Amino acid sequence: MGLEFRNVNHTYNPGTTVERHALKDISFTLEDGEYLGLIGHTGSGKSTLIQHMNGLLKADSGDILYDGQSIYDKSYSMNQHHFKVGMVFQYPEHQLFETTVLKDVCFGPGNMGLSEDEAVSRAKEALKLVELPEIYWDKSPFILSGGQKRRAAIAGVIAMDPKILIMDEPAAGLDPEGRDSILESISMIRKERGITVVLVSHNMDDVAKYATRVLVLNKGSIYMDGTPKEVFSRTKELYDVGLSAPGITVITERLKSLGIGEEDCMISMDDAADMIAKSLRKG
Amino acid sequence: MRRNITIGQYYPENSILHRLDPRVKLLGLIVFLVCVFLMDSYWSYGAVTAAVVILVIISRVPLRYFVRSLKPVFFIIILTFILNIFFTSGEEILVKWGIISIYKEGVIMALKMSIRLIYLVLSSALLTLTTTPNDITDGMEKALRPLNKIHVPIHEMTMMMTIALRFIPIISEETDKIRKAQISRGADLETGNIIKRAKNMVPILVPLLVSSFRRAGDLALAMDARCYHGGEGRTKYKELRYGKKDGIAYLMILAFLAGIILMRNFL
Repeated sequence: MGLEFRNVNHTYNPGTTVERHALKDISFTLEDGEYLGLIGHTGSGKSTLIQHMNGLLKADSGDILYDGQSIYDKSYSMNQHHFKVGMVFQYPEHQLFETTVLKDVCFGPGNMGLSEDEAVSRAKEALKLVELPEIYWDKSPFILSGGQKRRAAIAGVIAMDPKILIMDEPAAGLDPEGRDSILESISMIRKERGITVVLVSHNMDDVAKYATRVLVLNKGSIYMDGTPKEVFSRTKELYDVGLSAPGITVITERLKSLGIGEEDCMISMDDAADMIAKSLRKG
Repeated sequence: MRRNITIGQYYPENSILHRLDPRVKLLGLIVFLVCVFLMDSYWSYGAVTAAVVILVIISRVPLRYFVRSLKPVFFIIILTFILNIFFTSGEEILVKWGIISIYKEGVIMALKMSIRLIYLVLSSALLTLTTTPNDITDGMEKALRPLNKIHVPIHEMTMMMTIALRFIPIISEETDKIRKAQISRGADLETGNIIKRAKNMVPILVPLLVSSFRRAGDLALAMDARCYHGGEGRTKYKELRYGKKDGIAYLMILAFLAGIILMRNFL
């Protein structure tokens, strides 16, 4: 089931000098439980695509189906759809507004019509999941550090318990430690709750590490769609559209050209380490 | 959705109007506005109309941009028309219907006032569509520079205006982003009475305010880092210089003004 795109097109500012055909005939199905890495050059249509997933933008033509039902049907509640498909925008900390962190995280669940107790318990659970220490819960979100604000904002979306969680560059602008721990938290949440995750990122290492499927966009069209291994083994084509391969893939390819190891494309640090160790023992 | 603000909606072209010095265009606009209020005879209406039509054509800006600029004042124009048509009394009755009577003078007055309003908006649109906001403020700064002598902080005022204009699209984009983020969290922005709606705007207004302050701080810091210290002794990358066409344009503007004044007095 999942979320199915059928020949979706979207054009910005049609009929003006700044008209832009941002999505061209996009068709694919986001299956339940997947961890989709969405990559593409700046302006390739990633943001437009994810905004279609949760209904913020409407397709000019084509259809989007959630569990087999068109989200554009009159009988389909778009408001409910926003809760099923949670969206974490770039720099989500810029959307914080409440007087305390806990209240801000409660905003989403509150809008779902839950009782206050239920909303608070969900918010607390979400804050624990993103590992924001309890001492900050009653503080103003504006006094937190950048990384903590980001966690609070992500918790605000997770508290709505979405079936699909979309994140646009959730780790942008964070230090390496913050970046790893946020991505780890998300991976854990996915396993714990069995949700689908869509990660938009410019960091190929992150995508290779976490995604179960990678979708490459180029100029509004799907350029590649496959497992991380399949996609990243086509290094040359990725470079052609202004992308790159994960660092570890580049290294193992270089080693292979020097005669070390024989496996084609490696995307995991551990596999590469095993391969190098094996060939060292052999040598 | 917030695309219908024509102010600052420069339309890139390379017409003679685009290439004129902004100071010429500013004076031209002022003269034109004066003319719109000076015109009384059919001849002067004809002359001003001809001027508008010619300018719109030589600006090479598609007509629909001018139509769009009229949209926000459409309601005011209609209101002016209706008020004038019903509340002007005169001698010749055209329609009489109960206590409502429409006089010929009323119809003429209504038409005149609506035309004036339309020309006011169109002429301002002509300036903003053919001149970038930066050029406009540049022109203003240079034209008003003499006021510096009596300690009017012209440079500071125009700098503030430039920044304000520059921030309109940024803040509009930011608003859109925050709005989308809150809608994703189930914010309800469309239903309820006016008080409820105002309350529902809080999740958008607070982040907007916070980010505006942050941007203002960043900008001040960036200007400081580039040693900005006000207008004193500041040179320009693009110095405004008059060309031959600007002189000719000045002459035409003055001739037009003189013509309208003559028509008012002798026709």
